[in-house]
Amino acid sequence: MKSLIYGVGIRLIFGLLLIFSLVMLLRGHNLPGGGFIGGLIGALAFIVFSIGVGPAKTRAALRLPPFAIAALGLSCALFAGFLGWFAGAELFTSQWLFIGATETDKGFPLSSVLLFDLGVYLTVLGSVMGMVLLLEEFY
Amino acid sequence: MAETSASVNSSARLAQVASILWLGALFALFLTHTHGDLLSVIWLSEPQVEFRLRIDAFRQVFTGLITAIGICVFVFACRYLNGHPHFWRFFIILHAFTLAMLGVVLADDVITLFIAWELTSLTSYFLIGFKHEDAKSRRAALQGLLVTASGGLCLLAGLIILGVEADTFRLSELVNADLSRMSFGTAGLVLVTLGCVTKSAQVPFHFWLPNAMQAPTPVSAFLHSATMVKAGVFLLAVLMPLYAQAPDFLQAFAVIGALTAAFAGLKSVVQHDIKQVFAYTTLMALGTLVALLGIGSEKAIQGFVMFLVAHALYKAGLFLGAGAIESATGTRDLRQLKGLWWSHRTIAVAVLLNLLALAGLPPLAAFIGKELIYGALFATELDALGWLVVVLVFVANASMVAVSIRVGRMLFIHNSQPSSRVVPPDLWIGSLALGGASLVSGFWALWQTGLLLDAATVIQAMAVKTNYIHLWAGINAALIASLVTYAAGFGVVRGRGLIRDSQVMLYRLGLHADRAWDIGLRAAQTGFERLTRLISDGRVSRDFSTMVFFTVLLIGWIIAQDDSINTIQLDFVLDGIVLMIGLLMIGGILLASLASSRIATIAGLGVVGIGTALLFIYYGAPDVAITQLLIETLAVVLLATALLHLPRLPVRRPVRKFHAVLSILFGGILTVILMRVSSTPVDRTITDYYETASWTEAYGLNIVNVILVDFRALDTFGEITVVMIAALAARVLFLGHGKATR
Repeated sequence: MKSLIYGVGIRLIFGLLLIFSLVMLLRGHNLPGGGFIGGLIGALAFIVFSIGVGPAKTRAALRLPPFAIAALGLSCALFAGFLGWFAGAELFTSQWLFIGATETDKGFPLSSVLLFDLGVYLTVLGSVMGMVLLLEEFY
Repeated sequence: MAETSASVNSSARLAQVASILWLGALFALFLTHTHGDLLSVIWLSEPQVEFRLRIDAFRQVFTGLITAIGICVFVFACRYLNGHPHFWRFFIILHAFTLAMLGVVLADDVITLFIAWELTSLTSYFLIGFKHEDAKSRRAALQGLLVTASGGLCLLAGLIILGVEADTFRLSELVNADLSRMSFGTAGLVLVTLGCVTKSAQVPFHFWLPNAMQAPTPVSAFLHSATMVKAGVFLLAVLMPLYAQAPDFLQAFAVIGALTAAFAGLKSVVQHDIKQVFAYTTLMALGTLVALLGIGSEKAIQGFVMFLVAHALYKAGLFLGAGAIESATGTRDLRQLKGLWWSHRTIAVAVLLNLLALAGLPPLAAFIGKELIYGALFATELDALGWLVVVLVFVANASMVAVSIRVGRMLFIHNSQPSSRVVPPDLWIGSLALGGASLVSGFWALWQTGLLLDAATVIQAMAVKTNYIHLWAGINAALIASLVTYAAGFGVVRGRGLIRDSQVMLYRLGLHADRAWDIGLRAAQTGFERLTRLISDGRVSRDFSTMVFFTVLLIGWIIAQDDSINTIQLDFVLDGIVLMIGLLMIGGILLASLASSRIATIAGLGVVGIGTALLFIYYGAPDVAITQLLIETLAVVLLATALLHLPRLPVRRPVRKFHAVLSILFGGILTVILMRVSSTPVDRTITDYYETASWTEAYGLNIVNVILVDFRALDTFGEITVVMIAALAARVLFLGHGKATR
């Protein structure tokens, strides 16, 4: 789409949408959001971007091939599942680490479910982008 | 075939040595483990399915044959295919086949047995079709696979029926089940029998076996001796305690087996391709083995064990010999094999030794086996059917003698242009070793009578009362029958022309299984093609309406049966906001179904989706609402991108009454289902657990997310896998079109 206004405006919106998608991912455990929603918003950001600049530049902006991103996400999720197994629990049991926890403060929480949700995010992003970019390049 | 006179390359040598060591180790293992469980890993607890291997005397004999013959076959095969571009492919598949066959023999769990059974079918498919550039090979491979794998499906059904009825999937317990207590026991047994007779190529499923000769020679040697076709016979033998409770089965075995044997015998004497000749003798042996099981007496079972061992040895020897002959003379035509006695003495000796066993001459094990066959037949009260079996078995045995005479005589006919090709020892050593084994097998049987009787004990599931394994049992009816058989063998050689003419006549009459197979296969293909076209003509809208139509039919029928529909109570208040959203959605639907442009249709669908999202928000499910909104947006983007390239809709679209009725019915049914679901009181146990555990155990306030990433993480993992598979499938579709590059 050759529109100067869209082309310039999209750069701003693209960045904001990406940040928004990450926010949705991170806040998901306590507030509406999560990996699936975040991944969809991320994908929408890239789709909006690709409408402005074309699929070739979008691929460059993604850095990795979309299906590689999806595969990476699937591996992340699986690895997160195995973390529970490594710790001696059942597969996919969540593991938590509270960094700097004291008696009164629970500290900075780090968990295997965050990695799992990141995996969901990447899988959704990669899969959707893989399909959309192929569709755009198809004709 | 690779040039055999060239020096053997190092990878072939390596494969040879590795095979000898590995199969030798297995042989030693089976030699030392006389009985008991080898391995047990539980797969499923309810019903109990295990990977369970068990060995007893019968299985020990079998595994011993597989590994010992396997060594001979692999020594031959590595040289035979030396330098072949697909050498390692062949080597690996043949090894996989060997392991699968060992699995069939050792499995003590019927599911394990079935898997190994199907693996032998699958690997033999690859082996028979190894020369895949040859259309005949491909046809033979597919035919073998279709026959044995459909038999395998029958087997699975039968085993499951028997397993459920007997309440055990353990083969050693299943065989001792009481058939009269089962309500579908006979049906199960029929299905299992179908699996066995297709695998063992009994009439009328015999046709795939001679065609399987398209396989490379070492494969034929293995398939026809101790493996593949013997799997069916093996399972029949193992299930003898069950069959013994249903005498009709045994009678059928006797007749079918004898028919197969006689038919194959008469076929074998008129063939010219030496591998075809031996292929039919394999059929004859299988028929005889099945007939022996059918007779089922103690004598017959001992004859079964004896003949099983003897046949495995000489048949592998004959096929390996055929391979050696082929590389010595460059032909497999029986009429061209002249003078091998003078030009290739060792090969001639090896083939002769095996032919002695084929003819069943004393003092070989094959002789003992044949004596026991006649003995077992004469020991029973012979009715008309019994006499028929006697005559058929006699014809079969006489044919074997005739084949031996025919092939053996060729070796001594003087050839004015003898072949001077040198055959490397790898190619004849196996045949010679097996021939030697056949030669001493009679004495071995006397020495190891204990093992053979133990094997017979396993089959008949009771202790052996009398030992019938003798080389000299005195002058009796069986011995006289054997002598008459030898004489008749000469007669069959003389009367070959007559046999051939009658077979040609049958072929002209259309009585030919292989042709019937072609006709049947073609009919099946066109039939299924028509059926598929009836259901789906390639248009998405047609496919979709077919699916919806049958869903409406099925669920509608279930709902119509359900009386509780009148008792549905709904505590549902239609307030203003819900009403407005509803009206919005109805408007969207009308727009989508009546609009004359695709963009308007998509916009209409988008309105419906957004209306749904609004409802979610209104009832307090923000996560679902957000997801719904995003999916809606994405769908519009995807459709719009694809849409640019679709042809315009016609201005006046035809009114699709059928689709309209179908849609309304489908929507109505969904509504009824939803009303049913929401009028059922909800069991809050799980919900309460999630609500309390979400924070205390999973440290999360958003229950939906906690369920997704923690409580039900495995489900989510499955879902994202599906997402990725769907995307990959879309990619394949795009790339298949040939325009996109990435």
